[in-house]
Parts: sequence; C-alpha cells; structure tokens
Amino acid sequence: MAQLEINNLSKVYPPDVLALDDISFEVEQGEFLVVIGLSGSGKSTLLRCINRLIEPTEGSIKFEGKEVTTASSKELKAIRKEIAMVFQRFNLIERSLVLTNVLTGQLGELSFWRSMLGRFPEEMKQTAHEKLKTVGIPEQAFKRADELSGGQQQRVGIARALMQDPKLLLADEPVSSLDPATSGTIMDYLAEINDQGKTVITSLHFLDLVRKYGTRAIGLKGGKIVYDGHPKGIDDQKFKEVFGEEAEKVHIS
Amino acid sequence: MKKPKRFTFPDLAEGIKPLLLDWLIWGYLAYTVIFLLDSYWYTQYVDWYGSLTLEPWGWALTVLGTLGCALASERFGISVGLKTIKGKERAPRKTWALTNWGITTVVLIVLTFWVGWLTTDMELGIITRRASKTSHLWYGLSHPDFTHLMNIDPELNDTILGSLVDTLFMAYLATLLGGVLAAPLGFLGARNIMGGSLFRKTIFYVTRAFFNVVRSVESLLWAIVFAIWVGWGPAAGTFALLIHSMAALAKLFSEQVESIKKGPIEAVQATGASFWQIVRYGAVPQVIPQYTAFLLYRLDINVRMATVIALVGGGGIGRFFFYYKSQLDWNQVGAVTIVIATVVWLLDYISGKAREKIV
Amino acid sequence: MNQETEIPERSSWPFWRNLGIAVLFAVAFLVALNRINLDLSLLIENFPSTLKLWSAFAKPDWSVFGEGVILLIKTLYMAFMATALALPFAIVLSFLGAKNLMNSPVAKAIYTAVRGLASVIRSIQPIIWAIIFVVWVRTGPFPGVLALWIHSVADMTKLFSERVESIDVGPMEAIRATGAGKLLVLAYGVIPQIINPYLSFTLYRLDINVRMATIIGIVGGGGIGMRLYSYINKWNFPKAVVLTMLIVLMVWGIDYLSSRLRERIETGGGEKTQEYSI
Ligand SMILES: Nc1ncnc2c1ncn2[C@@H]1O[C@H](COP(=O)(O)OP(=O)(O)O)[C@@H](O)[C@H]1O
Ligand SMILES: [Mg+2]
Repeated sequence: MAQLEINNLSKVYPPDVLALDDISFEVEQGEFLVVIGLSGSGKSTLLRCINRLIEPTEGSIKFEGKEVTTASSKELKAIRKEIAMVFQRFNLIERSLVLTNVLTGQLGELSFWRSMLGRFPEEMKQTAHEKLKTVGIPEQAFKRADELSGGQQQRVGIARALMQDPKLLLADEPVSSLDPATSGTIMDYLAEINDQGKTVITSLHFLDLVRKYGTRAIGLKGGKIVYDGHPKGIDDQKFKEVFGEEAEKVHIS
Repeated sequence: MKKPKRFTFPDLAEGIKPLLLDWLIWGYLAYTVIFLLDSYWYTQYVDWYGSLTLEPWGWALTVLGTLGCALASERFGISVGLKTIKGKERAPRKTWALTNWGITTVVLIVLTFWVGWLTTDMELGIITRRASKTSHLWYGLSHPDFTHLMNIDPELNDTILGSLVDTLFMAYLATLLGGVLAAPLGFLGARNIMGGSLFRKTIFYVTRAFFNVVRSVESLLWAIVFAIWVGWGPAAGTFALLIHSMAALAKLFSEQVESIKKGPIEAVQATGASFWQIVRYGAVPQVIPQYTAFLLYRLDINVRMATVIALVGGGGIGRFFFYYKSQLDWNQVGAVTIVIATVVWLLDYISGKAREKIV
Repeated sequence: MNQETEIPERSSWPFWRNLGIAVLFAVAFLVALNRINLDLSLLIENFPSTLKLWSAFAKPDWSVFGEGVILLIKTLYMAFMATALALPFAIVLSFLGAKNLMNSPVAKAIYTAVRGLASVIRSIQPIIWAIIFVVWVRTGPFPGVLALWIHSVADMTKLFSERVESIDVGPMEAIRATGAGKLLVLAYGVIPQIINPYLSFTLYRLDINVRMATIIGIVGGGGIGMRLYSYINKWNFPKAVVLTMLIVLMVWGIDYLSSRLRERIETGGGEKTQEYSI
C-alpha cells in the first residue's frame, strides 16, 4: 500500500472552474515528488486538497490507508497532524514571535486551556529552539516574525512544519518569493528532510530545481496529469507539452 | 460564453453619477457667485436668508443653467465628473494644476475661501483692537494660583488633583468598557464576516448605520443627554465618552477584522489545530496589536474630552475651569489650565510611545 | 546528534509581565468604578426622565429645518476656514519643527520651541480656546474659527513634522550630491515625498474640525451648536432633534467623503493592491 493514494480526484470551483480533472496517482513513502505546471494549472489546488484546506469535489484521497475526503473533523485533525505544509508567502503570524510561530506546529498536541493561555511546556519550547537551529536561525527566536527577511521567514515556516514531525510535507511553491541563492538553501532543507525518510510533495517553477531535487515529477496542465515520471525524462518535447510552446524561454534558466 | 448586455438599474446609476457631480460643482459655483454678488451689490447687509431669496425665475434659471453647464461640460470633454468617477482620460504628462480637475479644485477652493471669509464674519482688526481685553487672562496664566491644587475648594467640594483623578478614571472606564463592547459590535459590522445571506447583510448594515450615527454625535452632546438621564456628575460624562468610544472603536475594530489575512489562518489550520486554537493563534494576533493601539489612542482622546465635558455637566477637572472662569478668577483658571495641559501632554507622549512599540 | 541547543537569553517573564499588567488594569478598573460611581441600574431607573427627549424623535419640529440647513452650511464654512487658514502656517512650521532638517544650534532651538509650543497648544481643547477667543473677539463664528484654527495649526504642525522626520534620505542626498542648495533639496528631495501625506492629514483635520465646529457653539463659538444648545436649554427637544439629525447627516457625509478621498490619495489614485491568490 502506498503512503498516499489519490483516485479520480476532481475539484470544481463554483460556479464552473474545473481546477482538477479526474486525477489519480500514488506516492510512496520517502519520495520527493515535484508538481510542475503553468500558473493556474491546478498545483495549489492539488496540494491543498491533500490536507483538505480545499474541499475536493469528487474522488478519494487515502493517506496511510485513512480516507481524507470523508474524515470527520476529529479524524481530519489527526490526519493534518501527520501532514505539514509550507507556503509560498510563508503565512507566518506576523505579529507573533518567531518562537510562537514554530510552536503552533504542535498545537494539535496541546490541551485547550494551555493553548489558550499560551503556556507551552518547556520541552516543547526546547524542541522549537532545536528546530530553529536546524534551519540555521536559532538567534532569531525572540524577534517578531515580520522583522525577518523573506528567506528567514520561510525557514521559520519550515521549522514550524518540522515541529509537527510530519510523515508528509507539502510545499506549495516554497521558493517562488525568494531570490535564487536563498531558494537553493531552502530546497536543501527540504532535501534533508526527505533524506530522513519523510515524503515531500512540492510544486516548483524552475526546471533546474526540479531536476536537481526531485525523484519524481508530475506535470499538470488544465487540471490534468500530462507527465508522470522521472524529472530527467522531461525533454524539450515533454517540456513544451507541460508548459506550452511560448513558455520555453521563461522557464529554462 | 459572453452574455448579451442588458440594461440594469446600477448601469443607470453609474451613468448618472458623473452628471450629478458636475451639476453639483456647477451648482455650488453658481451659489457662491450669487452670494458674492449679493454681498457686494447690495452692500448694506446680507445674511444667509438674504442671499438665498432669489426671485422664483432666478431659481429656475439657476437650476436649469447649472444643469445645462454640466451637460455642456460632458459634451465638450471638460467634465470633471466623468474623470473623477469613471477615472478616464488620465494625462500624466500635464502639470496637475492645469488639468480640468486642478482648475476646478483651485477655483472652488478660492471661492469657498472668499465666501467663508464673509460668512464667518472674519475681521482680523478686532484681534488687535480688543487685545487689551485678554490681558488679565495672560496675567492669570502667568501667575497661576495653586491654592486649591490639594486643598478642598468648598464651593466645588473637591481639590483640583482629586478632580484630575476623576477625569483620568472617567476616560479610563469609558475606553475600557467602550473597547470591550466594541469588539462584538465590530464583528457584526465586518463585511467579510457578515457577507452571504440577506439576514446577515441586514445585520451588517444596521450595525454600521448604528455606529456611524452614534459616532457623528460628539461626546459633548451625548453628555447633555446623559446629564439629563443620570444627573450631573462624572457618571454622566463617563457614559457619554463610553458610548462615543464604543461606536468609534467598533468601526475601527470592524475594519481590522475585514483586513484579516487568510494565509496565517490556513497555516494554523494545516497543523491540525482545533477551531478555538485557530482563532487564538491565526486570527487574534492579526487584530489585537492594532486594536490595542487604537485603544491607547482613544484613551488619549477621551482624556482630552474629559477635561471639558464638565461644560455640560459631565464632571471632572473642567468643573474647576468653568467655575473659576465664571468667577473671573483668572489666576485659578491659569492654574487649572496648566494642570490640564501638563496631563494631556504627558498622556499624549506616553500613549504615542506605547503605540509605536505595539504596532 | 543531541547537542545542547543554546537558547538566546530570555526568561519566561513576558507571561508574568502580561499577568501583572492585566492585574494592574483590573485593579484600576475597580477603583475607578467605585470612585466614579458608574451605576448601570441608574440608566434603567432614571429612564423616565429622558422620555421627553426620546418622544421628540417621534414628532420633530421641522419648522427649524431651513434655518438648520443654513446653520449647517455656516458650520461647514467655519471648519473649512479654520483648516484652510491653518494649512500655510502648519506647512512652514512643520519644516522648522522637523528634527532632521534643523541641524545647527540656532535651528535646534527653533525646533524645540516650535514643537514645544505645538504640544502645549494641542493639549488645550478647542472648546477652551473658544472660551478664550470669545473673551477676545466676542461671540460669533469668528472666535470659533480662531479656536479651531489655533488647535489645527498645532496639531497639523505635529503630524506634518513627524512625517518630514520619517522621510527617506536617499533622494535628499542625491539632490545634495549635485551641489544643489538648501531650497532645491527641499523642493526636489523633500516635497515630493510629503505632498500626499500632507493632503491626507489636511483632509483628516478638516473632518475633525467639522466635528468640533458642531459643538464649539456651546461656548459661543458660532455654528449650529450654538442654536442647538439654546434649544436644549429651553427644553425644546422637537427642534433640537431636527438640528441633531442634520448634524449627524453632515458629519457622516464629510467623514465618508474624507475617508474615501484619503484612501484614494494614499493608494496613489489606483486600485487597492489585491490579496495574493491562494
Ligand atoms: N478560490 C478560487 N475560486 C475560484 N477559482 C479558483 C480559486 N482558486 C483557484 N481557482 C482557479 O483554479 C485554477 C487552478 O488554480 P491553482 O490551483 O491556484 O493553480 P496554480 O497553483 O497551478 O497556479 C485556476 O484556473 C484558478 O483560477
Ligand atoms: Mg499556486
């Protein structure tokens, strides 16, 4: 049984935008899966359906054998604890401390009153500091999140994801708001996480990053899968198929 | 796919707005011209009734004439209304003052200033002519009499410092209670929360209208109402400040709620957090710092207002000011003024510094 | 693998600090409640004494409508005159009150004087200024305008100077590097950066002045407030109610217009930037 099984998944945004069109694939534990496609091809929708930030219209998603699409709110919370997410625009709580941002990754473990009062246990804080060290910014813990640069904010985003100790990491264009050098560092962290046996599913724009980091690539076009295989297999012919003729120059860089 | 364009009422409203604006501008222009003609032609005495009593045919002529001018300006492409509302014909290269917009604005401001000068009885000469009348005032301010700073004034049965504490407490209570009551109201007045069904929209509009109306009545006027209601004293003043603060803060709060970003909320949601955890960690941090800043600012405003609310029976340090003023005891007026200015200034400073830190 | 992560210095004092602040506020609240005697039950008990007031809303006396509109226009003109007359003074004073432009010892003294005076004048409510000016130039709209004017000058000077202090020095240095004099630096390095905020603050102040102009009449400063207060003193609520409604309409309208215009100025005339898509 694969870790993630997606069958005949479709998403229609009301009234009639077909964002995902009958998608099926499986992901094995430990894969580094890259989703590529033009803007608007449905990458975000796909990733967000997996942890149900977006309600799928049809089809089934099975994570470690548990059905996501029909999970009750309690089951869904349990599933979401196993799946971490990193966002293109970081989505940090900007006015809160960096440490608090990282600690939110463990909210699922915390009792109601403790979380309302913001009393995180000491060992949880210790772990949070460790995660910040893992992503190389231990000294920023007590700064407000909006004081950090974009690259640093994304590191906080990754630390927050690590805090969950997830089995699957979803990253929706994690480097699209960053400069190339910072992008490399962030991708290296994702690769490191992947090396520890965690599955990574990420959407990317740049083909060279896809080739360098991915163990498998899925190409989306108009909500349909047009490519599924090793990144090295994307030759010029395939590339044009995924991105369209005119996109060529923009994306090979 | 394209649907055929049908005539709808909003279309008509959109089309007519520029014309109405043009008409308004021309109408105002005519109004000022008539006023000025009246005021200089019949040099004797013109009040507002005088300037408004045109012959019946004059009214008709003005109304039609200005409408004609508005239509003509649209026809000849010098319409300010079209430009403002439709936002067309931007000419970035031109000097701003030379655009129709610029010319109209300048002309209207100059005319308004002219009419305003006449209608508010501006007469700078009086300032120098009657300057001597204020000498005792300056004398009192420079020779303040602090006798009752800490000694009870039997007439008012309080000390200046005591009433100062009252003033601060009034402002504090009004801000705190107003701020707490404003939060639920602010939610009801937030477009993003109250969108959707007709029922919710109705609540939204009713709430918005409620706090806009309450906000439009100054707290000094509210103090009159509450002085009648609960009798003269600091309680009346507090209620007045409270209701005005509540409305003002509810508006700010609702704007804050409207600007909540979805991203952080989704991020917290994705970690498997429960509903209240999402509210606590995703939504509240986006609202609270700015709202605290508003509260501090409001406290500042309320302290200022509380210093004068005694004028209409609201209690506080103003009682001393207005009482001594009525006794023409300028030295004591001076003392009270100095106390007020110091405290307000201090609070302004502290609240400003605290706001800087929070936001 | 499991080396000690060294944690930046920081104890858990924010929690205790916040708790302390909360307790302080709560105590102050209780003391204040006690001292002010804020009794909510009084609102219900004494409700009958306001019946005369509320019933006036049911049968307002529209005979004052025409007079009210004229007074309203007069009030608007008062606010306009105060703002318009305050603007040039505030502009000049704002440069003299900006720390970053005033470097020499003499200039520093001027800066201190301007900002100090502005703070003092601002701390005194327009209503109190109106009392002073009524003594000075006698009752009517003129002292009202003067009172709003002096408060506006002080307030706008403060806001404007703070704005000048926060300008970006880049453009200024670029102009200075070309060998331009002080005035040219002002004209090309400073003014383009402040013109929109100044406009926006002026509109904001106009809004405040309109509100203030509605009450400044209570002490003889002219405008609609003067008539309203005299009706209230005569317990003529049906007429007072009509004037109040007019005030509400005007203040609401000006508030709306001013905030719409300010929004437009602050976004540079364009549409608001859209939220990123998800
Ligand atoms: N909230 C939404 N409502 C309606 N349509 C949406 C929404 N979000 C995305 N879409 C549409 O769905 C399609 C896929 O979008 P998305 O998944 O964001 O693509 P990508 O992430 O690849 O750029 C696009 O056509 C987009 O316009
Ligand atoms: Mg996307």
